[in-house]
Amino acid sequence: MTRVAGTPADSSAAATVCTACPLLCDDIAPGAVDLARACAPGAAAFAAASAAAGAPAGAPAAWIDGVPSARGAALDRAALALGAARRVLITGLAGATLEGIATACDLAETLGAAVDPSGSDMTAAAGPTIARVGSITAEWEELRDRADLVIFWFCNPAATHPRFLERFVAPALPAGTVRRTITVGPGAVGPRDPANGPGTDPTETARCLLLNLKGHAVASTDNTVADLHAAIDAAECVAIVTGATGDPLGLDAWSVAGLVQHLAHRKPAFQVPLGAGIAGGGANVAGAAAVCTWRYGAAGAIARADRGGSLSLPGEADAMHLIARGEVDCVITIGPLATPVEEALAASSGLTASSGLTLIRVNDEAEPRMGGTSRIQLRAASLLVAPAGTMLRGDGRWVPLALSTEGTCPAAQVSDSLPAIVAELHARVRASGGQS
Amino acid sequence: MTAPGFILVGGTIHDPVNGRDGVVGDLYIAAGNVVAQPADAAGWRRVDAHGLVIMPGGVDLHSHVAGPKVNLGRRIAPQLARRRPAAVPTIHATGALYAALGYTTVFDAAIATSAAAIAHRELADLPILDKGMYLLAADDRAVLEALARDDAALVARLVGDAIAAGRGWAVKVANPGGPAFWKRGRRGDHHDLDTPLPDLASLTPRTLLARLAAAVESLGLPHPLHVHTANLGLPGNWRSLHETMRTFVAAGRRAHLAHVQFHSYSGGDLDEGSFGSGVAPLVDYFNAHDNLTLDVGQVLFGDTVAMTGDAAAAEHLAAATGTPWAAHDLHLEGGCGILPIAYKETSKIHAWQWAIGLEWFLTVSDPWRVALSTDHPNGAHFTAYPHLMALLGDAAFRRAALDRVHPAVRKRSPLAGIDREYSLQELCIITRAAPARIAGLPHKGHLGVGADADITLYRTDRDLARMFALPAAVYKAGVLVAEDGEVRATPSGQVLAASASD
Repeated sequence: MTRVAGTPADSSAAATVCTACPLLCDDIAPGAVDLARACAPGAAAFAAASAAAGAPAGAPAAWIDGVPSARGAALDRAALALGAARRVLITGLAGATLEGIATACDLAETLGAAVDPSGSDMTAAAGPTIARVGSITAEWEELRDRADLVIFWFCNPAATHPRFLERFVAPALPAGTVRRTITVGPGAVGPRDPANGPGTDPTETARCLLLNLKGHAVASTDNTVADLHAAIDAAECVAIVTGATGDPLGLDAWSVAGLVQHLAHRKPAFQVPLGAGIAGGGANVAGAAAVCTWRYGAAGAIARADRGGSLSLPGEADAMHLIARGEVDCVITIGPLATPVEEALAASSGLTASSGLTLIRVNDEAEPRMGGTSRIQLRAASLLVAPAGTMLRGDGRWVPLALSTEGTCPAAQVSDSLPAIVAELHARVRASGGQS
Repeated sequence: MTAPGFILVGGTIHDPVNGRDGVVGDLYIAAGNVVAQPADAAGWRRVDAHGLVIMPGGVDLHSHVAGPKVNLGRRIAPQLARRRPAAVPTIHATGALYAALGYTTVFDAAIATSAAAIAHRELADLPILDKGMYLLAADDRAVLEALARDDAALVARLVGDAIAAGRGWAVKVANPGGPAFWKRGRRGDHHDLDTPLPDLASLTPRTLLARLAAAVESLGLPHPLHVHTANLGLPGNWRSLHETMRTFVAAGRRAHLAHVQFHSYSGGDLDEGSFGSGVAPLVDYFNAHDNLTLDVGQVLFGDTVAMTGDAAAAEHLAAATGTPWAAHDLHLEGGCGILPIAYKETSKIHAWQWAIGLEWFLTVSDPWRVALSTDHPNGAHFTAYPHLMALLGDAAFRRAALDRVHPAVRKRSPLAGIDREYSLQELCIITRAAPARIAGLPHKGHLGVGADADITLYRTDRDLARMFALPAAVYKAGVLVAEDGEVRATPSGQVLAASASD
């Protein structure tokens, strides 16, 4: 939790920013005890971080092959591994601040590394949705203040973004307008079942609804499409909330974005793509995408980081595929990882003996990750107890984590901050004449 | 005593601010500035510039290079992102390309106040150039409410605070009152300047413009209100631009009119069949009122990405072309709209847009009130500036281009009857001296003593497009940053941030 200036309603009190998920809730009551507004996962994350920070002996600064090590020795070992690597992947990133991401990208450019924050769009075989059907979105407060119809489209924000409903859907609309909510699909995004009809399959439901809105009669196995059509017609402003999709082709995301495109030409309508939330590997998903885009032209799957020009290869150079295909022999993970990437690393552990995969983790965990792929682990200060820097909320809103962030990189000034550790690693790589 | 610097020896100097029009002479550079000839130049490095044309570094006062909107533009068209140069280049490539072209200063012309912080983070990665941003302060709900109450002091305070907090250079308005219409309907852009805002009945786009311009002047900002007026891209919209100009003249306010090409169409409302040029009455009015300045937003043929803080305009274009688009609405502010677009010579509409932009350039009487721009990337990529300069400076080249466009435009556009050619000095004015003056940059756009040593050296060439595309050398603050199109150094450049008058 991070202390920030108080709200206008209570200017004497400081609130905190929770970095447990991309909601970046900035209204948490301060203090380690009074976390009344925090969700359960947020409070648990804060408690764990506080406990680690307050451990009497303190956690080790680093581990090499699971054995506690001095940070300098671990950095030397990591720099050596990077210098010897054939191809490096830098992934994670979404748990880091913008400053940390920038520092990791600097390192990636020196190494000519692949970079992927591991968003699901970059894993989809068909590539990013925005390139195929565009993207009509809005900040979450726009939903709160404008949308009189909210459709939860095959997602369960209560599970992925615990306080989203409380903060952005439950509040009343201005002027007494009644907000209607409709849930489509099962309670949470699950594996795709092609045998399912409208209401149970995202792509098919979107297709039927779109045709229906265009005036074509569509046979439907239930009333979902007709109900949605009627509700949309009656609404002044429509928000469609989506989550992460397990569809490896990307058609689910494509279909709902296309539906919103059509609606947005008719009336105020937008999508609120929440993503994976707590399972997404960090609170700064939007920040990682933003930095990668302005540096490399795409949000991820960067085959080789290069200021002179980089190539994004969705479905090819994303973290999951590079790891699964054994195309990298050194992986640096910055902060926590999205679940699918962590699973890909776990699955690749059998490869490490033969491929010599070296894994370098930089995160705030107080225990070493066990398993065959965990070689070097550098512990950074937790943002939950040592806030610094800035992040972008899931909808792109700028959120400073600490009071003094303007024009500086405060996180980099703290020796055990993640940006400082990555910068130190970068310095050692350059000193050793690492790749360029 | 000045520490030794270097001397550009024997170049042909174009420095309109200081009255040098192709004068052969020397320039003395030290500590990042143009300096007076020292009493003793021993120890100064001499750089032979004989036969080279010397101009101040280019100043682009209306471009889109950073911020969330630009990032959406980078993502929406991967096929254009893979070109070299990319339609919307990465931030590093943007700096390198501008510098290699001889430009040393750029402004992003539309950043939402809430996006200023992330845009500055991105601009910090923009190499070489000095850079700044115009903030869409009038999209802010509190500012709108203060404007509606005609509370001038509060408007000035809120706008001043926004400029200070967002480290902005100027105030931009994109479709005055547009977000209020946009968020309550579709085709929300189709209003005239006197339609009250949906929920602020005491405020119309016209009163908004007049009151906001007054606030900007009261703050003493270096650049006047930067105006993208209503009805961008629509047939018949010349009337909106005309009324906009009349509003500022009646109020006695200065204003800068952005990308006027996109606002100069004749024809009936929403009637693309009657689309044509509405430039003539506009340019007559503009020529007669020197409180107004403009940039053109020239369209050039090819693929690009349209991006605007005027979401309604983007929605209209997306609907008209059937193109997938991106938009993002901001809380208590406006938003943006982005979509790919291909300007084709064979399209009547696109050919009109091309001809209308050139008509503006070629019929404006005072080049000091005009800035060359393509509204990058909306009208064309900034790397197409040399082509545009050739169209302006070479009538034969322009006639050949006119022969390739849609026959209806060849027949009806006044362009065929215009023989004017911009001289090198005039091209220097509209790419350097005028935009620097209009933007409020006294140390840029000229080569007098005390000026920033932002300098471009060109090889003389009858082919103006070739001449301006590949400068022999480019200096930024006295540092050689590009040579024959190759980047030699990547200093970080300065952020240009205004502060309200103290």
